[in-house]
Amino acid sequence: MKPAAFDYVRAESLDEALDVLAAEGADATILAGGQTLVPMLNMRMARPRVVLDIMRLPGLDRIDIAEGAIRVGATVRQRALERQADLGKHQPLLAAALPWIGHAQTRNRGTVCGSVANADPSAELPLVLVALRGEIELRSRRGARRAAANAFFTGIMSTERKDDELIEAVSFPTAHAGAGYAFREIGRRHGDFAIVACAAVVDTHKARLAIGGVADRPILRELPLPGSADLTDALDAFAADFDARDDLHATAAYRRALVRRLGLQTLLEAAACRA
Amino acid sequence: SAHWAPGTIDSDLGQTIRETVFWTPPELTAPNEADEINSSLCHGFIFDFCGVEVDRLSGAVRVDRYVTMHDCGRVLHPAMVAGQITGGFAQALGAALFEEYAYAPDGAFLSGTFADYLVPTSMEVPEPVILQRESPSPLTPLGTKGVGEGNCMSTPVCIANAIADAMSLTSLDLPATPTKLAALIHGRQNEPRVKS
Repeated sequence: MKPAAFDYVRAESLDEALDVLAAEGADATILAGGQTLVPMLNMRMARPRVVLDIMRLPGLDRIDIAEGAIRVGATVRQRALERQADLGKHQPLLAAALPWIGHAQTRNRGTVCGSVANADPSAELPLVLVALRGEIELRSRRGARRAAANAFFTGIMSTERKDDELIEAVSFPTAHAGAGYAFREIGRRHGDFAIVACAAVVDTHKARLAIGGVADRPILRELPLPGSADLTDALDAFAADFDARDDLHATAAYRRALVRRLGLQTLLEAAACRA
Repeated sequence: SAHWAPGTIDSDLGQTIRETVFWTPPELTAPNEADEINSSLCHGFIFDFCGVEVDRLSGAVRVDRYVTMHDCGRVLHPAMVAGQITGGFAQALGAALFEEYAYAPDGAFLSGTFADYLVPTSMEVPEPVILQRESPSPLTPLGTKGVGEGNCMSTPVCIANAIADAMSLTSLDLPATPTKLAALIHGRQNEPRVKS
């Protein structure tokens, strides 16, 4: 199929992009890597009046590791972050999760910030951002602001981003000394959407587990430390609290059972990885 | 279209050499009184065995090694024979583990696109170990038999039997999906209490 007609704007400057967003609002859709948007356009599931291509904007292709965070600009491809030198040292959770995103071919094109903006409930990058308590930098004609990951994802494919805002960058906190990180995912085939994805962070005193693919957005919960007698019941309660749905590829019961079983494995792995 | 039907070429043009031959093996006789016929002059043979692992946590199946032995009579082109067998094997693995015409209780068709009707990719299909045994057919001019369809029949059964052996099952409906197998492994009593 072919897209419905749209106006195409390839912004040459951030000002130009923000002007388009201010003028068009919800009638404009931002095009970054296009790995989600272009199929949606082709299937006419998305019919924006304006497609705003941001991939030529200067200065947004940077990965900066400083002050305890990995800051990833809006036009950084997933593959570029995946190949970032020493990523496993700076943030093992990112290094573990990135290879699970789609296929290498789609990671060559798709962007990190694009996946965050898209907010697919089973996507890995929103899950990791929530697990690490990262931040999203938003910019519009009205100014710049930062949003905390935990509040940013509001539902299926929906975020706190306003229609006139561009995600300029996202920041992933770097690894803390003494903390262990682990990521596990289960899907039907290589590259398929996650049925359940788990991201765990465990240090000496605390543990937390973020789950993707089950609720309408990533859900983070603090849990007893692995080794504690309370962990099993706490995981049971966490799994039971999910508003999971049956679909063709997994029942709600199966998803909740995986939250318990896979969640436990992920927590144990993170605990074992404590530096 | 004259190349299909040389007989339609105008005789004034002068024809290329052509020859028409009919050959019927004597074993393929006319229908009997009960209107039965032998529809196949000869049959190829297959013997498959495989080992699988079922992940206790997720119910996912991994084929560790799949061995398929074929007797398709005299092999004329080994690479084509291997290609036929591998293709049949890949399709059949899809039938065993992934593909499903799924319907909702109200009859709505759930697997209407390849997003939901799962076909295995190269990452899901292991390389089968293909063995050959040539016993030429006495009934065909070259001793050849047929090859290609067989694994569609043998492979789903072989994989299902391996899973059943692993999990001590007496029956199993395909596709053997993780949800199905996990429910069999862990049972309903292990499910956490469901929020009402």
